[in-house]
Amino acid sequence: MPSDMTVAVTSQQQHRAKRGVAFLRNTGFQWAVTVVLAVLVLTPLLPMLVQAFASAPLYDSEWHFTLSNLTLFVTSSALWLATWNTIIFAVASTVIALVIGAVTAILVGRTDLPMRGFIGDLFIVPLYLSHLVLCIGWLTMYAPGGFVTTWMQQLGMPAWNLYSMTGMALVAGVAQAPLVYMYCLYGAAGGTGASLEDAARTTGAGRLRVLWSITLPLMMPAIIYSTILNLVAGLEMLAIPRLLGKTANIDVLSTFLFDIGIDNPQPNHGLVANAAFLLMVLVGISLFFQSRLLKNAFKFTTVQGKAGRNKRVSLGGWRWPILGLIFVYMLVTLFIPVGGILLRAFTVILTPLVPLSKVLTTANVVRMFEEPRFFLAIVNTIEVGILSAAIGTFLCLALVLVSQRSTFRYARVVDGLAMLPRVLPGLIVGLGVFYAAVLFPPFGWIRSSIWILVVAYLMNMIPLGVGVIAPAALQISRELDRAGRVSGADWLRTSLSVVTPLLKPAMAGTFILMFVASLKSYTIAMFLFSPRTEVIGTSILLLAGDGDTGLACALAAVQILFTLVIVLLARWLFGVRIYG
Amino acid sequence: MRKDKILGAALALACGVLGGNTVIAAPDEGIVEASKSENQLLVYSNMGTDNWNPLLEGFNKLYPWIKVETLNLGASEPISRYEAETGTGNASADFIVTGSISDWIRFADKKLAADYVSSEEANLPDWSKPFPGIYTFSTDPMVLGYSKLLLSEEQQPDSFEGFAKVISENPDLFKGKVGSYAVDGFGGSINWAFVREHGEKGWQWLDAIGPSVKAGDGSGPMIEKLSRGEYTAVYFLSGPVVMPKMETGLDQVISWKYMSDGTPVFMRGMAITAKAKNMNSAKLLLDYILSEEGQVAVSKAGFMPYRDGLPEDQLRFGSLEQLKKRIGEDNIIFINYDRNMLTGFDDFTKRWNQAMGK
Repeated sequence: MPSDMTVAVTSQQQHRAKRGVAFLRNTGFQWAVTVVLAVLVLTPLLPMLVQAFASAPLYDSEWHFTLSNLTLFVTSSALWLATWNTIIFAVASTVIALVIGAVTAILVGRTDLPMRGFIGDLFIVPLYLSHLVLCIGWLTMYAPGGFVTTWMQQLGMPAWNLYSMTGMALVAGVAQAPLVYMYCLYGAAGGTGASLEDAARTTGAGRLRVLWSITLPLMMPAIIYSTILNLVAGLEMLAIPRLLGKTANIDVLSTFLFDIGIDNPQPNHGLVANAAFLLMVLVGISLFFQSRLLKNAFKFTTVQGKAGRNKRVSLGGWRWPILGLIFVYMLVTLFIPVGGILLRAFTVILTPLVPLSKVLTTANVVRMFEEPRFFLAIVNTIEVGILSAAIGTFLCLALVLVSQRSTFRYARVVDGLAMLPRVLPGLIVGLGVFYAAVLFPPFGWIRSSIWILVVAYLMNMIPLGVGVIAPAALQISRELDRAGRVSGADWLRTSLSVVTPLLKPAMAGTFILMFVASLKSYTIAMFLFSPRTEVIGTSILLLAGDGDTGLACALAAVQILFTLVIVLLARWLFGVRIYG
Repeated sequence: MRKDKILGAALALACGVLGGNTVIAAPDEGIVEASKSENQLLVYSNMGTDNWNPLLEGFNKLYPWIKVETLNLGASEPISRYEAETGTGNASADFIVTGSISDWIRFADKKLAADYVSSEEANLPDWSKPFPGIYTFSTDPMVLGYSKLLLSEEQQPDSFEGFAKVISENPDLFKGKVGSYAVDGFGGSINWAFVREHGEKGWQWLDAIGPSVKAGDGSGPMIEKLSRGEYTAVYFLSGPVVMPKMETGLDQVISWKYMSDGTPVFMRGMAITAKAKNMNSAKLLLDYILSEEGQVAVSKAGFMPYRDGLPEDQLRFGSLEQLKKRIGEDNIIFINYDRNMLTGFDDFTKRWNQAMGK
């Protein structure tokens, strides 16, 4: 009877149908992820491109295409001066960060420095703090009229001027040094080259020769990578040039953007968009060099199966003096500025000219909690942080699954799109999202809610999240995927039930990293915040600019406290070590 | 309905008693009724929440159902933000209070103010209403500020002439340690009015102090730097910023003085916006601020009220009337909506830069 046949046909049809459904499900998911990513990354870019060639702000109903922005831009001497200053500032701060970071990495990683574990933990603390907060600390203590400055002058020491390019580069360099340290420590200074160093020593090379010919070349990839990251950070830094450079009339591109785009009655958006592109080009060039240099630098990488004892270089009699020097450095660059913030939060003024007991006050802290604006800023910061970190973690997971573990035709496109935000400084992400929200009606409704911040933060933090999840996913063998597929699960099922659970620790790390990053962020929100959507970072920058230093320090103290709690919780509860 | 009327009458009466001899102009019943069905009133201003609190306290006693949200921005922002937001069809402010001459002129020219005549109109001086729909919130004096730690009493004169003299006589004490506004925006209009009033003599003073001046800060940073000893003196310091701060303990380290030979007084403007969504609530707020009780609240907020006949014992830092008595009406320099400023500003800036040695 045909019944058997029917059954066979039906089962075949069912099988086909099932495969069809699975195909739809899988490619559907992959396309959805790609589209979300493309919208997130590209929508802020396109309006900026249009704005660069528009005669009036895009929100004006009447504008037409023009090249006049470009002409204005090319002929603006202020802009060229700002560009030049930006390059000097970025290079100088990068060099300072490099020297301090690399030397510390070698000392902690390769020598018998006492208490090196503790020093290592302490040295990366500035990474948790935003430049803005550090800068305010420096301002309170070391600016003209600052506590330490005045004190030193009273003691007859020569005066220094923090309001200068040197001052700016110093603060930025110190703030960025931990990044160099981290990369170098986990690069070669961590000890992979110990046996090579031994080999060199046995052939008669002196200590310095070994350092120069073996250790440093081994550190090259780490140095190049962190140098470029710092260069990019220097290019887009806003707080330090804004708070220190303004008095000395030193403009950089970011402050130029801030002044003409945010702090201006009639922003010239054409010029803003052009300057924004210039900044992106500079960042892009830096990243291009990075990829070129790293290609060559990796030829030094050593791969060996033999585990050698990590022999440390003896510092001899210099052990303790060097330790002392490092403690002085930490005192001057970290403890005094952070202490200054805490003290200033509880005083009317902070100067050695008036005894502390006379100026103590709780007014700053009271104002912070009583004025709805600032309290709301704290609440918003936490909300935006949780939302963007949570959504960001899942988005990055989806991206990695598609780009790394699927046969999706455009997997490489996804990969490229995910890394694109790296060339976009935070200020520009904010600007782009602002334009997009103005131009594209679907974005309009988020304009006056914190979701506009969430979207911008998300876009900005994708490379960060992918940077954590992608390497973790690489370590999961593809045999597991195949096992899942063989057992009958489709791609999506395999990804979600097999790969994802194994990525849980990486996801926890991503969440914490993104949350901390959003806590300390301030540049992205600069173009975006509105009545009820201020965040701690924007409030601090505005307050500090208005000379309301006490309140700015109170908010900075809150930010430091939150970050500290989260970092410690993450470490104790989940064993997640950010930057470690 | 009737209950409300009685309550309104009682409140008006109560205010009349509290405020002295003039009774607050009875609010239009229709406006009051209509305000009840409106939403939160959104105000853009260049003032802080602590400035707004005394005003809103009084306002909400009269109209407890009106919720007011204030957004505090830079001087130019309230108007440019309103333009940008209404330009994109978004919701924006119902009411604006800020001090930026050029922005208000543009606001008036673009006819962005609501066409409403305040019920207090008859009680206000003519100069206080520069354009239709735009009123004056307060008249804020610009003063001299000194570091008490670095200067003796004799080195803290109360006139600009004395100020220029003490600086030229003690160059070491003041070199690079005199703060003020630059001439973009707010500072530009102060300097403009100052020189317009004093003429060549004003330029001579600025020439004399120019080499010592570090211009570019706002009043907040000036006070911060003055209190830390980074600056020894500042000029054209905003009264409403420095005076309330003295009460927090800053009087230990700094002092401030009116200039007896000419104190610039800034007219802070306010208006209901043409596209206000909560028009009736905004009208009530405008009328309240202009009323006698409202002007006393303006004083409590730290600003200088300008209505004549205010109860002096209730004022925090005095009124324009008192300032006139103190330094003479001729020595009040109004920083008003001078259109010449828009056209002659480039030449002015050049001359100012020359004075500053730039």
